[in-house]
Amino acid sequence: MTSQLRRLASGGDIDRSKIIRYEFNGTRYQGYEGDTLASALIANGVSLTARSFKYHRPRGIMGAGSEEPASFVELLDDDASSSQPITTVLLREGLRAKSVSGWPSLKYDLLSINQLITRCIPAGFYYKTFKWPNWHFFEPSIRRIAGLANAPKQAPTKGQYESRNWFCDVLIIGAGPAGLTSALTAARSGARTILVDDGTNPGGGLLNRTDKVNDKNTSDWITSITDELDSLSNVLRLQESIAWAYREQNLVVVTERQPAAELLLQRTWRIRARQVILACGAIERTLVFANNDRPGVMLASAVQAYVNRYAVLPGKRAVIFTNNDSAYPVAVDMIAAGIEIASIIDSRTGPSNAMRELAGDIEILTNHIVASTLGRQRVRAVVVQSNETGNPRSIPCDLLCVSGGWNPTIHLFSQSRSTLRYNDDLAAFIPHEAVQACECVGAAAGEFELGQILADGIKVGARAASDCGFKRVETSVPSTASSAPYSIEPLWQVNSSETSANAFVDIQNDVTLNDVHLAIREGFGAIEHVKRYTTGGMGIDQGKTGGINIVGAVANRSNVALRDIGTTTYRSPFAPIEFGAIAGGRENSALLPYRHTPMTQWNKDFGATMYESGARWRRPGYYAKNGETFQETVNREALATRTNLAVYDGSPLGKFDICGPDATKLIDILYTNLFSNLKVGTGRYGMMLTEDGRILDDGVTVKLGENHYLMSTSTANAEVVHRHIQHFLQIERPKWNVWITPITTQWSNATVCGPNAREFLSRVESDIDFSADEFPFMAMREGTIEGIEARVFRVSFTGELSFEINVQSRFALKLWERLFELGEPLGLTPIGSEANHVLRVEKGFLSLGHEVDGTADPYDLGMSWIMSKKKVDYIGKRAVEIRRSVESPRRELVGLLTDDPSRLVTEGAPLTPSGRLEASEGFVTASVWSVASSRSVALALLTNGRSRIGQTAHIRLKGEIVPATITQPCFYDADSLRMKN
Amino acid sequence: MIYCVNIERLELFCVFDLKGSRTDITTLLTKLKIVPPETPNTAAIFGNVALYWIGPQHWILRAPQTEADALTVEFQTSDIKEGNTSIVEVSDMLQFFSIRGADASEVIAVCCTLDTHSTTFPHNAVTYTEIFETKALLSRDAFADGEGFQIAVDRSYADFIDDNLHRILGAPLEVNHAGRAAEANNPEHDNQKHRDH
Repeated sequence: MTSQLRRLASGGDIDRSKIIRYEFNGTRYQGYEGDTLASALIANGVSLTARSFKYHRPRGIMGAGSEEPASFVELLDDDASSSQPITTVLLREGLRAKSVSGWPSLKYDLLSINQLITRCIPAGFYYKTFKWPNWHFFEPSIRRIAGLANAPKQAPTKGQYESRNWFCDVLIIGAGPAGLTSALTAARSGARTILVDDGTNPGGGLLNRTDKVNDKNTSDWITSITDELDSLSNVLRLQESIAWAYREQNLVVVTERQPAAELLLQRTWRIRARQVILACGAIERTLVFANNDRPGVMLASAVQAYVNRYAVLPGKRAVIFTNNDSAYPVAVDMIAAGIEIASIIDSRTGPSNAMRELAGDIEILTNHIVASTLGRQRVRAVVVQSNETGNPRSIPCDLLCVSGGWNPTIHLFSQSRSTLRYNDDLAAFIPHEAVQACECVGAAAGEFELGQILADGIKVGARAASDCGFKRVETSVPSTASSAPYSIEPLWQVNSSETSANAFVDIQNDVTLNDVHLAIREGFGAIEHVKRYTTGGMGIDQGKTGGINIVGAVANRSNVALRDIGTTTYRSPFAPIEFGAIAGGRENSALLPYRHTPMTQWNKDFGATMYESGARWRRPGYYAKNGETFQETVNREALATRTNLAVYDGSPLGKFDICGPDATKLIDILYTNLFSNLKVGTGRYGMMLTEDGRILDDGVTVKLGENHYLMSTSTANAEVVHRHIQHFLQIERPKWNVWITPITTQWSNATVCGPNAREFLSRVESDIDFSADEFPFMAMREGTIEGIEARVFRVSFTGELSFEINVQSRFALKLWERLFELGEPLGLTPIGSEANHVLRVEKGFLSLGHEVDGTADPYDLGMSWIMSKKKVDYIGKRAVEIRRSVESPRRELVGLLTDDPSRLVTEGAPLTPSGRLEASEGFVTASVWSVASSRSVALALLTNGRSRIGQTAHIRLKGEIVPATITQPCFYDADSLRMKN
Repeated sequence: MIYCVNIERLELFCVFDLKGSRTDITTLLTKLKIVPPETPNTAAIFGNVALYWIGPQHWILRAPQTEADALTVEFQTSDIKEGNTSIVEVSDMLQFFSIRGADASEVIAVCCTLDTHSTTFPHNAVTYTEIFETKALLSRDAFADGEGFQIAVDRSYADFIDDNLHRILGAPLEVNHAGRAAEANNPEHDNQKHRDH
């Protein structure tokens, strides 16, 4: 185990009393609590931490947070995760991580040979090469070579994810100086306030610097703020939480990475806020010059963070390359930590006097640039060049700090669909106009002076609370030392002879300046095209450090101002988010809702195979007995129904109670056939159309009283029908006096069917007369069965004598068990959906989703009898008439008997003229083995089908054409004598 | 357990779905000494009977199951003109759950998209909303001392809701949808699709 030779003896925001052991690429190291994996590796002197995505160039750590563009790791064991920025992995005991690329090792990566063929694999090479014989031949290898982690093979074994919904008045993103003062001001006014921050501790950029607030160390000031916030009951503070999406109507999605609950892995908050304050700070950008990706090249602010916050030394002798003032205080902190500064290379003609004073004795080379870095797996020197003379000079160093300026973190603001504008003074895009109730503050708004940031935070917090109706509470502005205003001269690329080759604009995706120029040459000059052609900005870092450099490169090459080019669209997530955190608890059995009847457990215990059968209902498909095949089971169940006695659970059928003085009018206008002449105690099968004349649903409606009906619908369409009726009543007939109440689960039913159904029920204890004379087809009777109050309907879906026994659901299981107790000796057989399907196909009964495919009307299905000639109007009548007034071929319901009687065909298979490969003339809607006919039978919708009965149709399957005779669409008991008995 | 709550599936209640004008409903309930609440989406409690105002001309009456016969008789013999109101017993349709304890609000936040803060969802609030994306009636638990909610869902979803509530707590129930183990690779299953009937 190596020692922490780059760790300072004191300082830093780490707990030196808690040593943490971890492993990186198989080597064991030590760090402290409070370290990230990046800071701990730097402390151990590790500089080579990655190989680049395409060229497998050696890479090190460049940043200190989610902006990290160079080094990504894959976590192992129970922490298993896909690519994560090395800078965001919190160190914990036993952590095992490995770099995502580099084989067989980082130091000796065989794939670094790609560097020899960079000219052959520029941006977009895969659009032009690897075409023969087929791109997919090469794709797996290319993907393996690319530097991405593997997806974990299994879910975490400990803990679960959670997703929750939350609301507040004011949501503040970012707990830096602006965020803290905003939150305090809003919270003091009484507003429900949430403060979200992605760091392990609040403070933002203050944690990395040595500023003073109110003459105290910033850590003391931060603690005083957070202590007060934590004492208020109207405040929720979320630390180590990343706000990664800003959606419509002020919905912000936040994922808490380390929730307090032990059993929780991560928690996602979907927060709806009345006002959002974006205090997300700013991100430093790199500079573009040759070999700007070498290990040892780091962002200046990152070096400052490592030195001050983690007490580690990223190097011993450094050069600083900058185009703005912010790098100078970094130099001061580095010197205080013991890093020698060889030189400050300032591309401007001259920094301000304040900066010169700050730099002290450090050599400042103004009007100079860094043309390149030297070294292989670590920087060993930089090549600097005067802008005037062009004379190069080499400066030995092991660390190059770069600062290309600061980009306000506008990602969430842009996601909210608000607009941005380019600011010349800052050389950056800043927030322009908000379209949702949000406001940026602090560095996120382009303000970099600490005193002003603190004051703005208070102002914005007060404004947000006031907009929510809370009274303003005065908050004093903390005092800070004054600082010189931020000054920058943009430098989008260094102009030297070496620049284009190996001058990276997007370090993660290995996108060079050459690639940008190539894209423009090839006509992909629009910024969104440049992004996609080069993949610049499409990596995990989402171009945080280099995106604007790409815009600058395009501007330079195209001679267009940056403001006219704009940025690409910022999309969520802002940082990598685990899929589990997005899904929350939606997994396994809880992924989708499911519904049970009172008999569900009985069905499972009896060996039923259960699956969803419409509207989330879990229903028995079939009840296989030992050794039976699927077809044997279905045949047995269907045969039992046709020859003896069966029962099925029909509880999920939709049911509605409809009553009121206008109930009959409603029923008549909903259905195509007449209901107003229905007698009390009887039912009628009816069909419902949509306004455009398509079949919506079918079912039996029973008249319970003068203005009182019980409507039944199909299982899957119950809710659709309910909405259809409510829409009609509320929009078309608001003055009608009628109420509709869903009662689907108030009543459950056991449907007893088969030729022996009546005889069986006569043995059941009941006051209902089941005889044919007293209980005709379509009648309803109320009474008791085995002491349970029941409503019994004589309806049939199977085509056999059938009694649907409805009881209140609390008694349903008792009834069901009693029926089996009495019926089993008689051969009572439970049947499932599969047998029901066979039985209804034999009868030619329609089924939603099969014959009712959204295009058919009742005439197509041979049901002209159901389209009332007497009624003046009903929903869909006019649409059907208009459609049929134009003579055009219609698909009509027919039966099909395959020439080979044993041949079943696939439901949905197309019918084409003579089986040729051309436009279909219909399709098979159902195909089953008929127990009644002992052969296969099918139903189909076929163009002009009814006029082609007796002819041959051709079913086109893959590799086969199956001929079939066209018949009437009923294969059993055409006169329905058995059903009506 | 992740949260400090007690989740209970409650016993069957006597529940009536009432529709009609406020005047007619008031008249209907007069002899029972039940007065409809003044504010929409609130509950009025009379002993162990609750009346929820949950929509325009729409109320839910909830009472112990022991009151069912008495209420049925009362409604059948009321003076209201036939056709002016809709009175439908839906006792078997609704399964009530109670969620009580210090973390009841946290649990509700996981399963419901509604803002149930006391400033927006006061002690007598009741509304239809969605719990785990299924339609549900949500109310404060007026019969509990301290923090608590009650949810009522269609009975057919009760097992799903129970499953999800226990998952929130980190204590998932054993759930087996499939009954007999599904033969995942059985080609005979290929033709299976939802058979609507």
